[in-house]
Amino acid sequence: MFSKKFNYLIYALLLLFAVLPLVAGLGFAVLYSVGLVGVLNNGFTREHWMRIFSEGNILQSFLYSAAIAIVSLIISVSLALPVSLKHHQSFRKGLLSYLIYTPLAFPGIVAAFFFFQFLTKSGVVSRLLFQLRLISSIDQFPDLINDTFGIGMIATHVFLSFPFFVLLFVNIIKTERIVEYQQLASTFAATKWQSLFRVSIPMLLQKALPNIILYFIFIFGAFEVPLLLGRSNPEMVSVLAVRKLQRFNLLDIPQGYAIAVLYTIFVFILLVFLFKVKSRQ
Amino acid sequence: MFLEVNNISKRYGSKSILNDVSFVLPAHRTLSILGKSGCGKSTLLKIISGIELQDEGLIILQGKNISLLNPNKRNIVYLFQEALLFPHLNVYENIAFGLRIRKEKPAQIASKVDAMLQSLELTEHVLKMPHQLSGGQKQRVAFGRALIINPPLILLDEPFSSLDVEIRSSMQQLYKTIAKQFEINALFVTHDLKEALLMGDLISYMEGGKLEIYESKQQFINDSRTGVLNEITFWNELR
Repeated sequence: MFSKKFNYLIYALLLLFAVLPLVAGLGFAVLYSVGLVGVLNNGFTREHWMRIFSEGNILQSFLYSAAIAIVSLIISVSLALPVSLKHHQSFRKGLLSYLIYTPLAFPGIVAAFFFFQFLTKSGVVSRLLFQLRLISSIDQFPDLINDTFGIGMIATHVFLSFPFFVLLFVNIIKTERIVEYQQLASTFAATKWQSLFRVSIPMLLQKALPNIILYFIFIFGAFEVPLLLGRSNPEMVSVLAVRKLQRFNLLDIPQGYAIAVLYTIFVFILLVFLFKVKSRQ
Repeated sequence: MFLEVNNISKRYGSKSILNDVSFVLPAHRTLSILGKSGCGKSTLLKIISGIELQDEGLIILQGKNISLLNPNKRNIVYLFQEALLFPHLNVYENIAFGLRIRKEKPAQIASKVDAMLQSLELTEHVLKMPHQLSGGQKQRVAFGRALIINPPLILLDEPFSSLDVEIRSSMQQLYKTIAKQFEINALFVTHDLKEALLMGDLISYMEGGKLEIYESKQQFINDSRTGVLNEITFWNELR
Protein backbone atom coordinates (compact mmCIF):
# COMPACT_ATOMS: atom_id res chain seq x y z
CA MET A 1 0.00 0.00 0.00
CA PHE A 2 2.79 2.33 1.05
CA SER A 3 4.84 1.48 -2.01
CA LYS A 4 1.84 2.20 -4.29
CA LYS A 5 1.40 5.65 -2.70
CA PHE A 6 5.14 6.23 -2.99
CA ASN A 7 4.99 5.37 -6.70
CA TYR A 8 2.15 7.87 -7.23
CA LEU A 9 4.21 10.51 -5.42
CA ILE A 10 7.21 9.82 -7.67
CA TYR A 11 5.01 10.05 -10.79
CA ALA A 12 3.47 13.32 -9.52
CA LEU A 13 6.90 14.83 -8.83
CA LEU A 14 8.16 13.68 -12.22
CA LEU A 15 5.13 15.24 -13.88
CA LEU A 16 5.48 18.46 -11.91
CA PHE A 17 9.21 19.05 -12.28
CA ALA A 18 10.15 17.27 -15.52
CA VAL A 19 7.18 16.94 -17.88
CA LEU A 20 5.09 20.00 -17.01
CA PRO A 21 7.81 22.67 -17.47
CA LEU A 22 8.80 21.08 -20.76
CA VAL A 23 5.25 20.87 -22.10
CA ALA A 24 4.41 24.35 -20.79
CA GLY A 25 7.56 25.81 -22.35
CA LEU A 26 6.94 24.12 -25.67
CA GLY A 27 3.25 25.13 -25.61
CA PHE A 28 4.21 28.73 -24.90
CA ALA A 29 6.76 28.68 -27.74
CA VAL A 30 4.19 27.25 -30.17
CA LEU A 31 1.57 29.85 -29.17
CA TYR A 32 4.12 32.68 -29.39
CA SER A 33 5.31 31.51 -32.82
CA VAL A 34 1.75 31.58 -34.23
CA GLY A 35 0.95 34.97 -32.71
CA LEU A 36 -1.48 33.87 -30.00
CA VAL A 37 0.59 35.26 -27.09
CA GLY A 38 3.22 38.00 -26.87
CA VAL A 39 3.13 41.77 -26.51
CA LEU A 40 3.41 42.66 -30.19
CA ASN A 41 1.35 39.78 -31.57
CA ASN A 42 -2.12 40.52 -32.92
CA GLY A 43 -3.75 37.09 -33.11
CA PHE A 44 -3.21 33.88 -35.09
CA THR A 45 -0.77 34.14 -37.99
CA ARG A 46 1.43 31.80 -39.98
CA GLU A 47 3.67 34.68 -41.02
CA HIS A 48 6.53 33.94 -38.61
CA TRP A 49 6.72 30.31 -39.70
CA MET A 50 6.51 31.33 -43.39
CA ARG A 51 9.37 33.75 -42.80
CA ILE A 52 11.68 31.26 -41.16
CA PHE A 53 11.08 28.81 -44.01
CA SER A 54 11.48 31.46 -46.70
CA GLU A 55 14.70 32.82 -45.18
CA GLY A 56 17.43 30.46 -46.29
CA ASN A 57 19.57 31.02 -43.19
CA ILE A 58 17.34 28.82 -40.97
CA LEU A 59 17.73 25.72 -43.13
CA GLN A 60 21.38 26.61 -43.63
CA SER A 61 21.77 26.89 -39.88
CA PHE A 62 20.22 23.46 -39.25
CA LEU A 63 22.41 21.84 -41.91
CA TYR A 64 25.51 23.65 -40.62
CA SER A 65 24.82 22.52 -37.03
CA ALA A 66 24.27 18.94 -38.21
CA ALA A 67 27.47 19.04 -40.28
CA ILE A 68 29.55 20.35 -37.34
CA ALA A 69 28.08 17.64 -35.08
CA ILE A 70 28.63 14.85 -37.63
CA VAL A 71 32.21 15.84 -38.47
CA SER A 72 33.10 16.25 -34.76
CA LEU A 73 31.64 12.84 -33.97
CA ILE A 74 33.31 11.10 -36.93
CA ILE A 75 36.72 12.46 -35.87
CA SER A 76 36.16 11.73 -32.19
CA VAL A 77 34.83 8.20 -32.68
CA SER A 78 37.52 7.41 -35.28
CA LEU A 79 40.21 8.44 -32.80
CA ALA A 80 38.60 6.77 -29.79
CA LEU A 81 38.06 3.39 -31.50
CA PRO A 82 41.72 2.47 -32.17
CA VAL A 83 42.91 4.02 -28.90
CA SER A 84 40.42 2.07 -26.79
CA LEU A 85 40.87 -1.19 -28.73
CA LYS A 86 44.66 -1.00 -28.45
CA HIS A 87 44.96 0.30 -24.89
CA HIS A 88 41.75 -0.81 -23.13
CA GLN A 89 43.72 -2.48 -20.35
CA SER A 90 45.70 0.71 -19.61
CA PHE A 91 42.50 2.76 -19.21
CA ARG A 92 41.18 0.43 -16.49
CA LYS A 93 43.95 1.10 -13.96
CA GLY A 94 46.97 3.31 -13.40
CA LEU A 95 47.66 6.90 -14.41
CA LEU A 96 45.80 6.82 -17.74
CA SER A 97 42.58 5.72 -16.05
CA TYR A 98 42.62 9.02 -14.09
CA LEU A 99 44.01 11.30 -16.83
CA ILE A 100 41.28 10.32 -19.29
CA TYR A 101 38.66 11.90 -17.01
CA THR A 102 40.41 15.31 -17.00
CA PRO A 103 38.90 16.76 -20.22
CA LEU A 104 35.46 15.61 -19.05
CA ALA A 105 35.76 18.01 -16.12
CA PHE A 106 36.14 21.02 -18.48
CA PRO A 107 32.92 23.01 -18.96
CA GLY A 108 32.23 23.78 -22.63
CA ILE A 109 32.91 27.50 -22.19
CA VAL A 110 36.33 26.85 -20.58
CA ALA A 111 37.32 24.46 -23.36
CA ALA A 112 36.12 26.99 -25.95
CA PHE A 113 38.15 29.77 -24.33
CA PHE A 114 41.18 27.48 -24.17
CA PHE A 115 40.96 26.76 -27.92
CA PHE A 116 40.33 30.44 -28.61
CA GLN A 117 43.62 31.30 -26.86
CA PHE A 118 45.42 28.62 -28.82
CA LEU A 119 44.03 28.94 -32.32
CA THR A 120 43.44 32.65 -33.00
CA LYS A 121 45.79 34.48 -35.33
CA SER A 122 47.47 36.03 -32.28
CA GLY A 123 47.19 32.86 -30.21
CA VAL A 124 49.72 30.46 -28.73
CA VAL A 125 50.13 28.21 -31.79
CA SER A 126 50.53 31.17 -34.14
CA ARG A 127 53.20 32.76 -31.87
CA LEU A 128 55.01 29.44 -31.55
CA LEU A 129 55.11 28.98 -35.33
CA PHE A 130 56.32 32.56 -35.70
CA GLN A 131 59.11 32.01 -33.15
CA LEU A 132 60.09 28.83 -34.99
CA ARG A 133 60.15 30.94 -38.19
CA LEU A 134 57.65 28.63 -39.87
CA ILE A 135 55.49 31.68 -40.62
CA SER A 136 56.88 35.14 -41.25
CA SER A 137 53.81 37.16 -40.18
CA ILE A 138 50.65 36.65 -38.19
CA ASP A 139 48.54 36.84 -41.37
CA GLN A 140 50.06 33.63 -42.65
CA PHE A 141 48.43 31.70 -39.83
CA PRO A 142 45.16 30.21 -41.14
CA ASP A 143 41.70 31.20 -39.84
CA LEU A 144 40.83 28.53 -37.30
CA ILE A 145 38.50 30.57 -35.10
CA ASN A 146 35.19 32.03 -36.34
CA ASP A 147 36.05 30.35 -39.66
CA THR A 148 33.76 29.02 -42.41
CA PHE A 149 34.52 25.35 -41.74
CA GLY A 150 34.08 25.60 -37.97
CA ILE A 151 37.53 24.14 -37.32
CA GLY A 152 37.80 25.74 -33.87
CA MET A 153 34.37 24.43 -32.89
CA ILE A 154 35.12 20.95 -34.22
CA ALA A 155 38.49 20.84 -32.41
CA THR A 156 36.81 21.84 -29.13
CA HIS A 157 34.02 19.28 -29.50
CA VAL A 158 36.54 16.55 -30.34
CA PHE A 159 38.62 17.53 -27.28
CA LEU A 160 35.51 17.30 -25.08
CA SER A 161 33.99 14.13 -26.58
CA PHE A 162 37.10 12.02 -27.24
CA PRO A 163 37.61 10.92 -23.60
CA PHE A 164 33.91 10.24 -23.27
CA PHE A 165 34.00 7.83 -26.23
CA VAL A 166 37.24 6.20 -25.04
CA LEU A 167 35.63 5.48 -21.66
CA LEU A 168 32.46 4.28 -23.35
CA PHE A 169 34.32 1.92 -25.73
CA VAL A 170 36.62 0.60 -22.97
CA ASN A 171 33.54 -0.23 -20.95
CA ILE A 172 31.83 -1.93 -23.91
CA ILE A 173 34.99 -3.94 -24.69
CA LYS A 174 34.77 -5.34 -21.17
CA THR A 175 31.01 -5.90 -20.84
CA GLU A 176 30.49 -7.26 -24.37
CA ARG A 177 33.57 -9.52 -24.12
CA ILE A 178 35.03 -8.12 -27.34
CA VAL A 179 38.42 -9.77 -26.64
CA GLU A 180 36.78 -13.21 -26.54
CA TYR A 181 34.96 -12.47 -29.81
CA GLN A 182 38.30 -11.47 -31.34
CA GLN A 183 39.81 -14.76 -30.19
CA LEU A 184 36.81 -16.63 -31.57
CA ALA A 185 37.14 -14.84 -34.92
CA SER A 186 40.85 -15.73 -35.06
CA THR A 187 40.02 -19.44 -34.68
CA PHE A 188 37.84 -19.01 -37.78
CA ALA A 189 41.04 -17.89 -39.56
CA ALA A 190 40.24 -14.17 -39.36
CA THR A 191 43.30 -11.92 -39.62
CA LYS A 192 43.68 -9.00 -37.20
CA TRP A 193 42.18 -6.60 -39.76
CA GLN A 194 39.27 -8.92 -40.56
CA SER A 195 38.61 -9.35 -36.86
CA LEU A 196 38.74 -5.57 -36.40
CA PHE A 197 36.44 -4.61 -39.27
CA ARG A 198 34.06 -7.59 -39.20
CA VAL A 199 33.76 -8.08 -35.44
CA SER A 200 35.21 -5.50 -33.02
CA ILE A 201 34.25 -2.23 -34.71
CA PRO A 202 30.71 -3.28 -35.79
CA MET A 203 30.01 -4.62 -32.28
CA LEU A 204 31.33 -1.47 -30.60
CA LEU A 205 29.45 0.89 -32.91
CA GLN A 206 26.22 -1.07 -32.61
CA LYS A 207 26.36 -0.96 -28.84
CA ALA A 208 27.49 2.68 -28.70
CA LEU A 209 24.96 3.97 -31.27
CA PRO A 210 22.42 5.30 -28.70
CA ASN A 211 25.20 7.28 -26.97
CA ILE A 212 26.50 8.56 -30.30
CA ILE A 213 22.99 9.81 -31.17
CA LEU A 214 22.71 11.50 -27.75
CA TYR A 215 26.08 13.18 -28.23
CA PHE A 216 24.98 14.31 -31.70
CA ILE A 217 21.96 16.02 -30.09
CA PHE A 218 24.28 17.60 -27.52
CA ILE A 219 26.70 19.04 -30.10
CA PHE A 220 23.84 20.05 -32.43
CA GLY A 221 22.31 22.17 -29.68
CA ALA A 222 25.54 23.31 -27.96
CA PHE A 223 25.60 27.03 -27.22
CA GLU A 224 28.81 28.19 -25.52
CA VAL A 225 31.29 26.73 -28.00
CA PRO A 226 29.65 28.18 -31.17
CA LEU A 227 28.98 31.47 -29.36
CA LEU A 228 32.70 31.98 -28.80
CA LEU A 229 34.26 30.11 -31.73
CA GLY A 230 31.57 30.11 -34.44
CA ARG A 231 30.88 32.72 -37.10
CA SER A 232 27.75 34.75 -37.64
CA ASN A 233 26.93 33.34 -41.06
CA PRO A 234 26.15 30.49 -41.11
CA GLU A 235 25.60 30.16 -37.39
CA MET A 236 24.65 27.22 -35.21
CA VAL A 237 20.93 26.75 -34.45
CA SER A 238 21.20 27.53 -30.74
CA VAL A 239 23.03 30.81 -31.35
CA LEU A 240 20.56 31.82 -34.08
CA ALA A 241 17.55 31.07 -31.85
CA VAL A 242 18.98 33.03 -28.90
CA ARG A 243 19.93 35.95 -31.16
CA LYS A 244 16.36 36.12 -32.48
CA LEU A 245 14.94 35.92 -28.94
CA GLN A 246 17.24 38.41 -27.23
CA ARG A 247 18.20 41.02 -29.80
CA PHE A 248 16.63 44.48 -29.98
CA ASN A 249 14.09 43.78 -32.72
CA LEU A 250 11.07 42.52 -30.74
CA LEU A 251 9.37 41.46 -33.99
CA ASP A 252 12.00 38.72 -34.32
CA ILE A 253 10.98 37.03 -31.06
CA PRO A 254 8.21 34.84 -32.59
CA GLN A 255 10.76 33.59 -35.14
CA GLY A 256 13.11 32.70 -32.28
CA TYR A 257 10.34 30.62 -30.72
CA ALA A 258 9.52 28.99 -34.07
CA ILE A 259 13.19 27.95 -34.41
CA ALA A 260 13.11 26.55 -30.86
CA VAL A 261 9.97 24.53 -31.72
CA LEU A 262 11.60 23.22 -34.91
CA TYR A 263 14.69 22.25 -32.93
CA THR A 264 12.54 20.43 -30.36
CA ILE A 265 10.71 18.48 -33.12
CA PHE A 266 14.07 17.52 -34.66
CA VAL A 267 15.40 16.31 -31.29
CA PHE A 268 12.14 14.45 -30.65
CA ILE A 269 12.46 12.59 -33.99
CA LEU A 270 16.05 11.65 -33.08
CA LEU A 271 14.92 10.42 -29.67
CA VAL A 272 12.24 8.21 -31.27
CA PHE A 273 14.96 6.78 -33.51
CA LEU A 274 17.18 6.32 -30.44
CA PHE A 275 14.47 4.37 -28.59
CA LYS A 276 13.93 2.19 -31.65
CA VAL A 277 17.66 1.42 -31.77
CA LYS A 278 17.68 0.62 -28.05
CA SER A 279 14.63 -1.66 -28.29
CA ARG A 280 16.28 -3.55 -31.17
CA GLN A 281 19.30 -4.16 -28.94
CA MET B 1 48.05 -40.06 -35.13
CA PHE B 2 45.68 -37.25 -35.95
CA LEU B 3 46.62 -35.05 -32.99
CA GLU B 4 49.71 -35.37 -30.79
CA VAL B 5 50.11 -33.24 -27.68
CA ASN B 6 53.59 -33.64 -26.23
CA ASN B 7 54.73 -32.48 -22.79
CA ILE B 8 52.69 -29.28 -22.64
CA SER B 9 53.34 -27.14 -19.55
CA LYS B 10 51.93 -23.78 -18.58
CA ARG B 11 52.43 -21.55 -15.53
CA TYR B 12 50.80 -18.28 -14.49
CA GLY B 13 53.36 -16.65 -12.23
CA SER B 14 54.27 -19.21 -9.62
CA LYS B 15 51.13 -21.30 -10.20
CA SER B 16 51.48 -24.37 -12.39
CA ILE B 17 48.33 -24.88 -14.53
CA LEU B 18 49.46 -27.63 -16.91
CA ASN B 19 52.18 -30.02 -15.93
CA ASP B 20 53.75 -32.07 -18.74
CA VAL B 21 50.47 -32.98 -20.45
CA SER B 22 50.78 -35.55 -23.24
CA PHE B 23 48.18 -37.50 -25.20
CA VAL B 24 47.25 -38.60 -28.72
CA LEU B 25 43.92 -38.51 -30.52
CA PRO B 26 43.20 -40.90 -33.41
CA ALA B 27 41.20 -39.61 -36.41
CA HIS B 28 37.41 -39.23 -36.23
CA ARG B 29 37.28 -39.59 -32.46
CA THR B 30 35.98 -37.40 -29.65
CA LEU B 31 38.06 -37.32 -26.48
CA SER B 32 36.14 -36.34 -23.35
CA ILE B 33 38.18 -34.44 -20.80
CA LEU B 34 36.60 -34.58 -17.36
CA GLY B 35 37.85 -32.47 -14.50
CA LYS B 36 36.87 -30.12 -11.74
CA SER B 37 36.76 -26.34 -12.21
CA GLY B 38 40.22 -24.78 -12.30
CA CYS B 39 42.07 -28.01 -13.13
CA GLY B 40 43.42 -26.56 -16.40
CA LYS B 41 40.95 -28.03 -18.95
CA SER B 42 40.12 -24.70 -20.62
CA THR B 43 43.78 -23.63 -20.61
CA LEU B 44 44.69 -26.85 -22.44
CA LEU B 45 42.08 -26.16 -25.14
CA LYS B 46 43.17 -22.52 -25.46
CA ILE B 47 46.77 -23.62 -25.93
CA ILE B 48 45.82 -26.18 -28.60
CA SER B 49 43.74 -23.55 -30.43
CA GLY B 50 46.57 -20.98 -30.20
CA ILE B 51 44.60 -18.45 -28.12
CA GLU B 52 47.27 -18.92 -25.44
CA LEU B 53 50.85 -20.11 -25.80
CA GLN B 54 52.40 -22.95 -23.83
CA ASP B 55 55.62 -22.47 -21.87
CA GLU B 56 56.91 -25.82 -23.08
CA GLY B 57 55.81 -28.67 -25.32
CA LEU B 58 54.72 -29.46 -28.86
CA ILE B 59 51.41 -29.79 -30.66
CA ILE B 60 51.37 -31.85 -33.86
CA LEU B 61 48.21 -31.79 -35.98
CA GLN B 62 48.04 -34.15 -38.97
CA GLY B 63 51.82 -34.49 -38.88
CA LYS B 64 52.44 -30.72 -38.85
CA ASN B 65 53.98 -28.87 -35.93
CA ILE B 66 51.51 -26.08 -35.09
CA SER B 67 52.93 -25.26 -31.65
CA LEU B 68 53.84 -21.65 -32.45
CA LEU B 69 51.32 -20.81 -35.16
CA ASN B 70 48.81 -17.97 -34.67
CA PRO B 71 45.22 -19.17 -34.05
CA ASN B 72 44.10 -18.00 -37.50
CA LYS B 73 46.68 -20.31 -39.13
CA ARG B 74 45.80 -23.46 -37.16
CA ASN B 75 42.36 -24.18 -38.63
CA ILE B 76 41.11 -25.34 -35.23
CA VAL B 77 37.73 -24.06 -34.05
CA TYR B 78 37.19 -23.34 -30.36
CA LEU B 79 33.62 -23.45 -29.07
CA PHE B 80 33.31 -21.45 -25.86
CA GLN B 81 31.05 -22.25 -22.90
CA GLU B 82 28.54 -19.77 -24.26
CA ALA B 83 27.53 -19.74 -27.91
CA LEU B 84 29.15 -16.28 -28.45
CA LEU B 85 27.16 -15.60 -31.60
CA PHE B 86 28.16 -12.32 -33.20
CA PRO B 87 25.38 -10.00 -31.93
CA HIS B 88 25.45 -7.74 -35.00
CA LEU B 89 24.89 -10.64 -37.43
CA ASN B 90 21.74 -12.70 -38.01
CA VAL B 91 21.68 -16.52 -37.97
CA TYR B 92 22.55 -16.78 -41.67
CA GLU B 93 25.52 -14.41 -41.40
CA ASN B 94 26.77 -16.03 -38.19
CA ILE B 95 26.90 -19.42 -39.91
CA ALA B 96 28.45 -17.88 -43.03
CA PHE B 97 31.12 -16.03 -41.00
CA GLY B 98 34.00 -18.49 -41.55
CA LEU B 99 33.21 -18.80 -45.26
CA ARG B 100 33.19 -15.02 -45.73
CA ILE B 101 36.54 -14.80 -43.92
CA ARG B 102 37.85 -17.34 -46.43
CA LYS B 103 36.41 -15.18 -49.24
CA GLU B 104 34.40 -18.01 -50.78
CA LYS B 105 32.09 -17.19 -53.70
CA PRO B 106 28.58 -15.98 -52.72
CA ALA B 107 26.87 -18.86 -54.55
CA GLN B 108 29.01 -21.40 -52.70
CA ILE B 109 28.34 -19.68 -49.38
CA ALA B 110 24.58 -19.68 -50.01
CA SER B 111 24.45 -23.37 -50.87
CA LYS B 112 26.63 -24.42 -47.91
CA VAL B 113 24.72 -22.27 -45.42
CA ASP B 114 21.35 -23.54 -46.70
CA ALA B 115 22.52 -27.14 -46.32
CA MET B 116 23.81 -26.47 -42.79
CA LEU B 117 20.60 -24.69 -41.78
CA GLN B 118 18.62 -27.72 -42.92
CA SER B 119 20.78 -30.29 -41.17
CA LEU B 120 20.54 -28.29 -37.90
CA GLU B 121 16.80 -27.60 -38.39
CA LEU B 122 17.34 -23.84 -38.28
CA THR B 123 15.73 -22.81 -41.58
CA GLU B 124 12.83 -20.95 -39.96
CA HIS B 125 15.23 -18.86 -37.83
CA VAL B 126 17.53 -17.79 -40.63
CA LEU B 127 16.82 -14.05 -40.37
CA LYS B 128 16.64 -13.87 -36.59
CA MET B 129 19.22 -11.99 -34.55
CA PRO B 130 21.02 -13.86 -31.73
CA HIS B 131 18.99 -12.18 -28.98
CA GLN B 132 15.82 -13.63 -30.53
CA LEU B 133 17.03 -17.24 -30.12
CA SER B 134 16.75 -19.68 -27.21
CA GLY B 135 19.87 -21.12 -25.54
CA GLY B 136 19.65 -24.39 -27.49
CA GLN B 137 19.11 -22.61 -30.81
CA LYS B 138 22.14 -20.39 -30.12
CA GLN B 139 24.31 -23.47 -29.53
CA ARG B 140 23.04 -25.07 -32.73
CA VAL B 141 23.99 -21.93 -34.66
CA ALA B 142 27.41 -22.01 -32.97
CA PHE B 143 27.83 -25.64 -34.09
CA GLY B 144 26.77 -24.74 -37.62
CA ARG B 145 29.22 -21.84 -37.70
CA ALA B 146 32.03 -24.19 -36.63
CA LEU B 147 31.14 -27.19 -38.81
CA ILE B 148 30.57 -25.28 -42.05
CA ILE B 149 34.28 -24.54 -42.50
CA ASN B 150 35.02 -28.23 -42.03
CA PRO B 151 37.85 -27.75 -39.51
CA PRO B 152 40.12 -30.73 -38.89
CA LEU B 153 39.71 -30.32 -35.12
CA ILE B 154 36.96 -28.84 -32.92
CA LEU B 155 37.54 -27.92 -29.29
CA LEU B 156 34.40 -27.82 -27.17
CA ASP B 157 34.75 -26.08 -23.82
CA GLU B 158 31.69 -27.14 -21.77
CA PRO B 159 29.38 -26.04 -24.60
CA PHE B 160 26.18 -27.22 -22.91
CA SER B 161 26.90 -26.11 -19.35
CA SER B 162 24.57 -23.09 -19.52
CA LEU B 163 21.59 -25.09 -20.91
CA ASP B 164 18.78 -26.61 -18.87
CA VAL B 165 18.57 -30.41 -18.49
CA GLU B 166 16.13 -31.11 -21.33
CA ILE B 167 17.84 -28.93 -23.95
CA ARG B 168 21.22 -30.20 -22.78
CA SER B 169 20.10 -33.79 -23.43
CA SER B 170 18.81 -32.98 -26.93
CA MET B 171 22.03 -31.08 -27.74
CA GLN B 172 24.09 -34.08 -26.61
CA GLN B 173 22.10 -36.28 -28.99
CA LEU B 174 22.51 -33.72 -31.76
CA TYR B 175 26.27 -33.65 -31.17
CA LYS B 176 26.50 -37.45 -31.41
CA THR B 177 24.57 -37.37 -34.70
CA ILE B 178 26.61 -34.61 -36.32
CA ALA B 179 29.90 -36.02 -34.98
CA LYS B 180 29.12 -39.19 -36.92
CA GLN B 181 27.75 -37.36 -39.98
CA PHE B 182 30.69 -34.95 -40.30
CA GLU B 183 33.36 -37.37 -38.98
CA ILE B 184 34.37 -34.86 -36.36
CA ASN B 185 37.67 -34.91 -34.50
CA ALA B 186 37.09 -33.21 -31.19
CA LEU B 187 38.18 -32.60 -27.63
CA PHE B 188 35.12 -32.25 -25.40
CA VAL B 189 35.75 -30.62 -22.02
CA THR B 190 33.16 -31.11 -19.31
CA HIS B 191 32.84 -31.32 -15.55
CA ASP B 192 29.73 -33.49 -15.88
CA LEU B 193 30.40 -37.18 -15.38
CA LYS B 194 27.47 -38.43 -17.46
CA GLU B 195 28.28 -36.02 -20.29
CA ALA B 196 31.90 -37.20 -20.37
CA LEU B 197 30.74 -40.81 -20.75
CA LEU B 198 28.10 -39.97 -23.36
CA MET B 199 30.12 -37.67 -25.58
CA GLY B 200 33.53 -39.32 -25.70
CA ASP B 201 34.78 -42.22 -27.77
CA LEU B 202 37.76 -41.91 -25.44
CA ILE B 203 37.65 -40.60 -21.88
CA SER B 204 40.27 -38.79 -19.88
CA TYR B 205 40.50 -37.22 -16.45
CA MET B 206 42.40 -34.08 -15.57
CA GLU B 207 43.63 -33.15 -12.12
CA GLY B 208 46.39 -30.87 -10.85
CA GLY B 209 47.48 -30.00 -14.38
CA LYS B 210 47.94 -33.64 -15.41
CA LEU B 211 45.83 -35.59 -17.90
CA GLU B 212 45.21 -39.33 -17.90
CA ILE B 213 43.47 -41.13 -20.78
CA TYR B 214 41.68 -44.38 -19.89
CA GLU B 215 42.06 -47.41 -22.08
CA SER B 216 38.46 -48.44 -21.48
CA LYS B 217 35.27 -47.13 -19.95
CA GLN B 218 35.58 -49.80 -17.25
CA GLN B 219 38.98 -48.45 -16.22
CA PHE B 220 37.45 -44.97 -16.03
CA ILE B 221 34.59 -46.28 -13.89
CA ASN B 222 36.98 -48.11 -11.56
CA ASP B 223 39.14 -45.03 -10.89
CA SER B 224 37.87 -43.61 -7.60
CA ARG B 225 38.97 -40.04 -8.53
CA THR B 226 36.39 -39.80 -11.32
CA GLY B 227 33.49 -40.17 -8.90
CA VAL B 228 31.67 -42.86 -10.95
CA LEU B 229 31.77 -45.40 -8.10
CA ASN B 230 30.31 -42.84 -5.69
CA GLU B 231 27.49 -42.15 -8.14
CA ILE B 232 26.74 -45.87 -8.53
CA THR B 233 26.74 -46.33 -4.74
CA PHE B 234 24.43 -43.33 -4.34
CA TRP B 235 21.84 -44.61 -6.84
CA ASN B 236 22.06 -48.17 -5.51
CA GLU B 237 21.45 -47.00 -1.95
CA LEU B 238 18.50 -44.97 -3.15
CA ARG B 239 16.91 -48.13 -4.55
